[in-house]
Amino acid sequence: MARLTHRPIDLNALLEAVQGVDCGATAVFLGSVRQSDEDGPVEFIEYSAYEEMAESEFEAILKETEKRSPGVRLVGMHRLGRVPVGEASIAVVAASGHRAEAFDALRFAVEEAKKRLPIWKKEFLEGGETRWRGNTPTENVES
Amino acid sequence: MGSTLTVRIKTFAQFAEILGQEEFTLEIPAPATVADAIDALRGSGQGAASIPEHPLVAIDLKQVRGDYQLTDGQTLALMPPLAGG
Repeated sequence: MARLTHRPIDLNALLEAVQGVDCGATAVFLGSVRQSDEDGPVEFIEYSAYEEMAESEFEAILKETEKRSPGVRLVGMHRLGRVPVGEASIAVVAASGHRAEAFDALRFAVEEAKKRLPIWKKEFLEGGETRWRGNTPTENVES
Repeated sequence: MGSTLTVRIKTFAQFAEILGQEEFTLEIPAPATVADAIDALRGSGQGAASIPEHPLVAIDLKQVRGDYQLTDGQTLALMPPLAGG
């Protein structure tokens, strides 16, 4: 299950959606809005999307991942609108019998989401400056 | 006079800012590909020339290439580089 939301991500709801008595491992990825020397004084990011396509593509990514990693159950959520520093913009949870499959499926799904979701982010910096921000490709990731 | 086709253009993020609107229609000579529609749009003025020659485009929620043949009434989503996550 993949969804977009305009509210803070409820991680517990995502955990409940995939966990079960057969799951010995649950891996969680939270991508959060950050402030660092590299990024500058980011106050918040405004996320926008081609919502219909983003939800459909996110769902397709999770289905592909589950097909690639049989036995792993996945759920994903991407937040839209204003997301303050420190809060999560994306969450993906993978539950499986064993950790290796859960970690592998989680990373694959997150990297595909980064590459394929029609979502855009505009950073708002302290002082009022704004800038559109792209994603940085991650190396050594199986595609 | 030749026939034309009308496509609905949806724009997002920085492209919507450049064009000043998120949705509009574009009438172009038929037959036309996605690349033809982008060329026509880029030549329409009002800052449209700063849209890249080969942007990401989706039709019916799927990404398509520039040689995709358009049909009348389709919606063409014009997308900046993706930045989810």
